[in-house]
Amino acid sequence: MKLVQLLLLIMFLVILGFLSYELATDSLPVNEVNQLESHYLKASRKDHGTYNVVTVVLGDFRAFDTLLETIVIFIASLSVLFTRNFLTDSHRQSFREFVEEFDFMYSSVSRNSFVLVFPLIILFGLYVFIHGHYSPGGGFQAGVILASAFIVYSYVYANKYNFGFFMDRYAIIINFVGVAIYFTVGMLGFLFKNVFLDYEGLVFLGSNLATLHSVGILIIELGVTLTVMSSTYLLFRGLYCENGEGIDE
Amino acid sequence: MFIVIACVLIILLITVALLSLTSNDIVVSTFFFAFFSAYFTFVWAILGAIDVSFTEAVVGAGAATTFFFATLTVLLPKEKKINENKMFDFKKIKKLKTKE
Repeated sequence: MKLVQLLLLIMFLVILGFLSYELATDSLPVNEVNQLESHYLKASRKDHGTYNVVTVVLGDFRAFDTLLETIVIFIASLSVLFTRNFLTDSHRQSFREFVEEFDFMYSSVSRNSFVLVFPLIILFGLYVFIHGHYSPGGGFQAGVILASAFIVYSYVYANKYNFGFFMDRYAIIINFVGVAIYFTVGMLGFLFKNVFLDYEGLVFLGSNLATLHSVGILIIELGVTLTVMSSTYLLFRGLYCENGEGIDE
Repeated sequence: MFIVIACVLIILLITVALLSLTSNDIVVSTFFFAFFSAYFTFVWAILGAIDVSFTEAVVGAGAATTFFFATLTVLLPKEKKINENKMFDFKKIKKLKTKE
């Protein structure tokens, strides 16, 4: 059995080698690729007012693709929640009882280090989100970094207890709000310019087209960030909590 | 210099992938999978795709590993639970406190 596995692995490696050789040599029409590349590189600075070409490609040239990716993540998190039977039973406990138990339940090391690390993670996530136009980063990465802060909360403070901002109910609402922001920007383009996701439809923000594109990308990145943040957190909660164990209220 | 770094990375990648495939313990296998993602970030960075490298570091090495471990803590039998910390067993300590 081991031998068969090894043979399959070697066959796969050989096929992969041939395919990568095909990619490396000129199997693609070079002229078209070069034209597209130079167009992207020129247009991203001049017409879209953004220095990071990857952000422009994700947020403007292929905005519809990104919209569908966001909706896929949204649906995935909801489906995990429903399969885990997550929101049916509720674990009721008052905040005072929680604090009394908590005092001798967990080590002070993890609590204090959480207090130190939590604001730094949030700050780094916001930095990555806002600097998506200039440096590597953007909506998806910032969303996962922000979600990781809340995941740390869920690990340190037992997964049972949710208070304040950490309620799963709010996460579901934020999950929807992110997709709604993205879709609203698309519909504004449809209303004013007759093209779905045309950022020149944001007429009330000014008349400079480069600025309009830049601001439009920033707004849809906000939607992506919110959706990815809440859906990553919900995916984690759905996988980590046993049935009906960790619920808000 | 570039070729040397690339060769070292490829050897590391293949060994880590084989280790994660062949290890018997599922927790060890998950650890090696995380290492695989971490090495892949360097590969993307060397190839010049910094954005992809950043995404790999955040999603592949960070979020996916936490998802794996979250699933393992729920699925593994109680003796093997990673999160079980008998020093801070809440129920026992509470009983002790009430006795005093």
